Amino acid sequence: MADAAGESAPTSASKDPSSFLSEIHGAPITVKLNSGVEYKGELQSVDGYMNIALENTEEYVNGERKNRYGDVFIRGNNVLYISADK
Amino acid sequence: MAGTVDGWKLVGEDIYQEWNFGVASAGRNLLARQNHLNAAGRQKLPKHILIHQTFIKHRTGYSKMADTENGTSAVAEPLDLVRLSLDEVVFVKLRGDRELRGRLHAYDSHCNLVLGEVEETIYVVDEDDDDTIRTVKKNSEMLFVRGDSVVIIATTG
Repeated sequence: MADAAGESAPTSASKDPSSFLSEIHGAPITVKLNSGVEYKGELQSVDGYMNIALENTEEYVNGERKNRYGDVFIRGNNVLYISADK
Repeated sequence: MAGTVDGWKLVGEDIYQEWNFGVASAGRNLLARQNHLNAAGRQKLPKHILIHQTFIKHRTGYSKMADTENGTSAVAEPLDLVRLSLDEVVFVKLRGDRELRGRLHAYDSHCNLVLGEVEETIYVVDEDDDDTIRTVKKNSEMLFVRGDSVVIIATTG
């Protein structure tokens, strides 16, 4: 666990969570909510509440795609995690 | 070259040539609005896209675009997306397996919303009938939604 952070993930020059978030701007991400629902889309922006704006969004419930939306605003209190997709 | 938007020249012809750019705005990124047609020539509802700064070759007319008198500016923070949906029909997902579809009249930073001509869909587990999921629909002329129950707000179309 004490590995140099940069070694395993070459892109992770980030030193803190907010620089991770600014690094993945415009990139495809997955947002998982506390309810278990996942949203996959391109990250437009995040704010201090962890409100998230996504575009070209797909909604997954129990791993199945349920819906597609153009733009989605996610209220930050529902967010469990944000994951950068490969 | 994909095109020029109010003096903003864009690179990346592959992605954006199907868009009609109607709205441009300030900031390091650029907001564009798809007005009419997609590549297939199909009419679509207006949709906003954010163009990453790396696609922008030149920026001129910056001060003109910083002017927000036409009510548009970049999606610099997530709530800007909600602002861009004002007076449009939005889809709102709420806690407690409820969904709303209605025209967005007002919002604030708590995500309190005022919606007009709303159709509410409630998903109920029917315990009498093998736990199947039943939907109940309700219509309201005008609805105030308390922000803490909002999960997502999506543009439709």
